[in-house]
Amino acid sequence: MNINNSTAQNTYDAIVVGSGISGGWAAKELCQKGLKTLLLDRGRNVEHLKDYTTAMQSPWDFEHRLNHTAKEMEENPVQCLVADAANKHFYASDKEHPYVQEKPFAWVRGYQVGGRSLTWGRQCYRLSDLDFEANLKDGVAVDWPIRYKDLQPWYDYVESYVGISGTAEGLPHLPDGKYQPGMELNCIEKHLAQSIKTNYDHRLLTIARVANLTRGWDSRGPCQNRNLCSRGCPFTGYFSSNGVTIPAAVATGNLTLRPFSVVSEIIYDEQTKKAKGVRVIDTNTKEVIEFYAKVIFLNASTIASASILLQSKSRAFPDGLGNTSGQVGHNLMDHHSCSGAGAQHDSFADQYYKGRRPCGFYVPRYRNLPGQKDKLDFSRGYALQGHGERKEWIDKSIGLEGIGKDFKEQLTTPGPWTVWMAGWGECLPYYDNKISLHATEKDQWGLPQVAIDFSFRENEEKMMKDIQETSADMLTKAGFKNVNTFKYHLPPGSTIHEMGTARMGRDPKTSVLNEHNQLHDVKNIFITDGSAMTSSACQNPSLTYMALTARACDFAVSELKKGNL
Amino acid sequence: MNRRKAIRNLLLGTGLATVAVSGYKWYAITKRPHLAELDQYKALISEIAETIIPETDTPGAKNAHVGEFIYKMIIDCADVKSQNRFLYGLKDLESHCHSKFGHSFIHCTVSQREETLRYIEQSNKPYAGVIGKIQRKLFGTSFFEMFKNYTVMGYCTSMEGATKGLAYDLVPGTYEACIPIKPGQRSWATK
Repeated sequence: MNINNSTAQNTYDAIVVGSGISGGWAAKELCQKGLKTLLLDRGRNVEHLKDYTTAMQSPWDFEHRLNHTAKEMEENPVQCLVADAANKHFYASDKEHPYVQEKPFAWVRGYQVGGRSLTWGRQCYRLSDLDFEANLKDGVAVDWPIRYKDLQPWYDYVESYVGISGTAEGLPHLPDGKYQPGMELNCIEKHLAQSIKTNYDHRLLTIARVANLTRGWDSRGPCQNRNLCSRGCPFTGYFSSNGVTIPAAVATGNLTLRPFSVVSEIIYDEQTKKAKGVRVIDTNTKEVIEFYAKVIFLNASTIASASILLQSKSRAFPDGLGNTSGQVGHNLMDHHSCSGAGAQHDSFADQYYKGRRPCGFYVPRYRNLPGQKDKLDFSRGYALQGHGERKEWIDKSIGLEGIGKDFKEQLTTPGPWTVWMAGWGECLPYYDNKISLHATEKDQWGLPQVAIDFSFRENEEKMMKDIQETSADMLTKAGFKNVNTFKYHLPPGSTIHEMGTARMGRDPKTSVLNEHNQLHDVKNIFITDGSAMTSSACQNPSLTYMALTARACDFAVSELKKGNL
Repeated sequence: MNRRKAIRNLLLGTGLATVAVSGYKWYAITKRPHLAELDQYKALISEIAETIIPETDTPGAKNAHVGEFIYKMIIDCADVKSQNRFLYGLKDLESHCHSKFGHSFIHCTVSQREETLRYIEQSNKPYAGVIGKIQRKLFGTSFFEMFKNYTVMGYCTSMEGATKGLAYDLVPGTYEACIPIKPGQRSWATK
């Protein structure tokens, strides 16, 4: 086609699809490297500070306090599972954005500029070679095409920019990073940490490593210990696309941000064997617009990125763009985090705390480590996340009998110290855990709805049982009372760590992306969100997406300069 | 308290006649509730809440407008079963007061009110163990437990309750991990 005026206007050096935690990084890196970059997001714009409308509100400012109405729960069960009245505007409505659950699966989405980087859990842990080599050693799925040494400098790079507080522990399987001082453990957590240290080899309890600033950093923060992060932070106390990477991209003068833009497909050019651009539906006007670029970063999130590939059908790719392997949409993973233990301790009755620390503690993986002799009935491992606190009114009121003055006194004074902890466990990649495009159900833009077919299997179930047992054991040894193990009945997806639907690998026949996060089949498309993950490890994955993104951007720009893209 | 006995019998599976009664009760709890009836109980709701959390040296439920909150929660947030149970519970409570004291809860003395609520709390108590679990699964939390939960939530998340009955700090600034507890220390209102 001839290049008319609008084509020229709609042409950029790079297009980034999705502005969440990885898309924000792609936009920043590409803009800072001088590329004119179009950043697309399907949702509305959320301007840092200005659009955090509930950030300074108190519980009584909300009509039903922080509760959902019965109507909201009925219409938006997945949104209501994770959101409250104060942050629900940052979670997509099930009713407006339906999908098909072939088995129960909570697909929790953030359809706005910044995506789920506004509401993420902010925990940042590195993967290690224990993780990168696991598939190869176990003969599971395919081998990661990279190792820790490939990603290490990029972990350094992104951590130094994000601003992460934490404590170095010198563990080979949970490599230390660049940290601000860690937040402080409280009395009961210190007690548990000491007991674990005394009673076990290979186990320790450390403060969570989180993208919350304990020191002012590049005119951001520090964190004010409000623990209201998911409403957006008026102090920029935590890292988000909105607060950090998007403003950095804007500052270069190279960024064009286009909200309300649903990408319906990537346009493939058979002659050049490259992607030409993307087709977008403007969600306000319903207008269909094409944008063109030399390089495309797909960062729409694990499930959405795979669905865009599947929607992008052409003569060359009848089963979806970049899907000659048949792996796109398959190997979906989510961490499980529903099992653990809680307990109560009689000590430290004269101690309390002030402030709401926005994180808990972390017990790094201690199962199936190199050199351990235990014969376990599951492979891989898990880390524990938890927190200690005194029982406050919401906990104390459960089962508290009586009325009147005595009841009120009980209700309003601090109760005993408690610890709650649960295992965040690795999920193996199973080919038949998958997303696909539904044959008949459409969304409001006429695009096929995503159908999700996912379940945890024997390995995950056995791990959940082990989590309960080892958690209870650590609490018991530390002198806790009323040790209760639990396994919540939450649908998979609830951990909101979807991964694996366009996995990296060495062989184009069995994987979608190569070692640079480049589509094996179409070299000018890069995918650096969770879909790239070849295995899930048990660490919270966002830091790895950020490191993969920065690394892939560096590679893409150098390839572009060499004329290879 | 016939309804409670019926539920009890249903759960213990004691005969056909009881099952028939329970079928009716099942209908009664799942039918569309007459929420307009709730309007006449606004004052009653406030008084019950105040009996649960009275004004002392800190504000009570009435100061914190807990009655209005409960009313709103029942109308907007409770499911149909809970709405029905709530209405039945209020009626049961009133008929108990009328038969025992000859007048409405609102006209009871403080000690009569306390006696009434203690009685209802005990008689609403779910069974222990598996039977209690089934009971909850079928019929949800009891009237009194529901009322108390709403009262607690309404009080502790209100401005009066959170800032005066408890301790509230919108912007703590720092996290002090282990500090000596102060005499008369109130719990933190938010986590």
